[in-house]
Amino acid sequence: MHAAGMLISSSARLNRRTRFCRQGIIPTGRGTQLHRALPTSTQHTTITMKSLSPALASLANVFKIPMSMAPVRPSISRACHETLNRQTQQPGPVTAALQSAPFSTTSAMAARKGKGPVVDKRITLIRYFLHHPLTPRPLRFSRNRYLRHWTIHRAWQLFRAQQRRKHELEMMRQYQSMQDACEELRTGAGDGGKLFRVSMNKKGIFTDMFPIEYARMQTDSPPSEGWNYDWKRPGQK
Amino acid sequence: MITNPSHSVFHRMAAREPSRYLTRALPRASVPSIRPQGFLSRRNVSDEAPARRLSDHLTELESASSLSTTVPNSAAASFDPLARAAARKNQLPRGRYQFRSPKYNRGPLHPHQPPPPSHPSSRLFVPGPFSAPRAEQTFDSTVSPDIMTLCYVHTPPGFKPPPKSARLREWDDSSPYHKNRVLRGPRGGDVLRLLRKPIKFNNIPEIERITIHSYVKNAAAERNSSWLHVAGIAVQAISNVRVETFKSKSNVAPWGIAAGRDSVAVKAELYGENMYHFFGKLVDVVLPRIKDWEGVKGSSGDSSGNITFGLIPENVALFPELEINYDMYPPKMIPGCHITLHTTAKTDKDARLLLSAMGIPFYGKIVN
Repeated sequence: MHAAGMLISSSARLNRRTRFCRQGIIPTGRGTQLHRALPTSTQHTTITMKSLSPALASLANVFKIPMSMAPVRPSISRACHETLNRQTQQPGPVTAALQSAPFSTTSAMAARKGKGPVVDKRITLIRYFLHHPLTPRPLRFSRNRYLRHWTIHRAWQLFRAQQRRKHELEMMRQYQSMQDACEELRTGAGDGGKLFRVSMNKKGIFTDMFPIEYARMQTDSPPSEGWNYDWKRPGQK
Repeated sequence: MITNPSHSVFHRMAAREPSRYLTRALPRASVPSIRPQGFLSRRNVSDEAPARRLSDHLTELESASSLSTTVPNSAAASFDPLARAAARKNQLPRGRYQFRSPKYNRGPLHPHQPPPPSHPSSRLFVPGPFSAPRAEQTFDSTVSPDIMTLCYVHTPPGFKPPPKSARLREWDDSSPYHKNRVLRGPRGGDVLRLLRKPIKFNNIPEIERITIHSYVKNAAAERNSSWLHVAGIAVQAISNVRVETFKSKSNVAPWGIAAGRDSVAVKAELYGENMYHFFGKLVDVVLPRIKDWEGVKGSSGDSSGNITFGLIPENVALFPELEINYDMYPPKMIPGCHITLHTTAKTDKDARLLLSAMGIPFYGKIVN
C-alpha cells in the first residue's frame, strides 16, 4: 500500500514535470533527456525505485535527500553550472529548439541554418531565474496546527499593536510636555515672553535642515564615545 | 521525433560526467560539498578560545523538568475527549478541512466573502515583518521626536485659528449664467494643492513607499528583450520586490517606440520592511560612494511631499547585491533608475526636512 502510494505520487510528480517541460516552464536537464527514450513514465519510476536499496533509502531519508528522480525545481547551483559549462557555443540545431526554447531568442529556423545570434550565457541565466516560478505552495495545515498558527499570528499582531500604541502615547506625552513648557515660558518666565519668542523662531529650519552628520543610522554596538561635543559646523567659528 | 544529433550530444554529455542519479544515491556525507559545513560555528586557530565550557551551559539549564509536573486528579478525571465530541451540537469540520479564500471577488452581496488581508488564510496575506530595519528603528526613536520638536508651533490654550476662506471660490453673481456653475478653482492656476496641517504627534511625516523606476532605452531601440530582462533582475535584486514592466504610452519616432507596442520600463514598489532595508542600503552604502555627488537637487519634488532623484548605471552597480556578483550581469546592460521617495508629508519642505534627517543630502537652491 505504502509502496504503491509512493509510486503513484512520484509518477504524478513526474507527469507534472513532463507537462511543464512540454509547456516550456521547466528547462529539461540532462537527466530527463536521458530517460526520454523510455515509453512511459510509470515504467521509468519503477526502474529507478528498484535500484535503491532500503538502506540507501533510509539514509536518504535521514539526510533529507529527495528520493524522487524528477525534482520539482532543479537547484540553483546546478542550473548555473549546466549553463556555464555547456561546451558548445551554439547547441545543435534541433536540441536548441527543443531544449532551450523558453530562454532562447533564436527561432528554430534560424538555428537550423546555424547563424542565429550568440546569446550571452549570463543573459540566459538571468532569463532562467527571472521567469522561474519561485512561489511556494500555500501552507496546508490540519485543524489543530492551523489553530496554533492562527493563535501565534494573532498574538504577534496584538504585540505589534501594543508597541504602536505605546509609541504613540510616548509621542503624545512629549508633545504635551513641550506644550506645557512653552506655555510656562510665555506666561511665567517673567521676561515679557522674550525667551518664548526666541524659541518659536523657525528661521533656517526648512532651508538649512538637519546637518548630514545627524543622519546616522543606529547600530547594535555604538562606539563608547559616540558624540563629539567639540564638533562645529565647518563654516562656523 | 528526436533526431540523431541530439542523441549524440546527450551520449557525449553522459560519458563526460558521472550520472546525477549516482551522486543522489550516495549518502550526502560521503560526497564532497562545495560549501563548508557548519558555517556559523566554525572557529579558526587565531580566534580566542571560547571562555565558556560545556559544563557552564549545562549549569544554565533548569534542573526541574516540565515533564515531571503532576496533573491534579480532578483534571485527569474530567478529561474525556470522546464525550466532549459527542456532546457537541454541531460537528467540527474534519481535521484536514481548510478554509479557502474565494479566488475572485464577487462583490459585497455574495455570500462567500474573502477574509481580511491580515488573516493567514487570505490570498493577500504577507507574513512578517521578520526583521527590524535600522532605518525604521532610527526614525521611530530619534528622528520623529526631533521633527516634532523642530516643527512645533505653540498656540495658547483656547486659541482658535481664524476661519480660512474656501479653497474653491464661489462665482460672484454678476451674470445669470453663474447659477449652478461648478466652483472656481484656486487663484494662480487650477492645481488644488494638498492641505498642510500643523505637525503634531500624530502626523509626523514619514516615508510611505519607495518607487524604483527604470526606463530602458535600448530595449526598444535594439529590439532585444535582454536589456529589459537584465534591468528587471537588477532592480529585483536591489529591491527584493518583483518588478512590473510597462509599455510605452506614446509614439516617439526618433527613439523607435510606438504606443502599446514596446515594453520599455520596469518598476518596483517598496513598502514596509523592504522599503526601510532599501533606504538603509541607499544611505549607508551607495550614496556615500558615488563620486562627486552633491546630493539631491533642491528643486526636486512634486510639491506634495514626494522627492525623486536619479542614479546612473555606475551608481546602481554600487548596490551590494549587484556588487557581490557583478560578473553575472552584462556590465553595459545594468540600468540606471529613478528613485522616488514618497512621504506622508503634504509639502516638499516637510519631506526634505524628513529626508535630510534620514541622511539624504540636498544641494542648490531649495524650491518649495
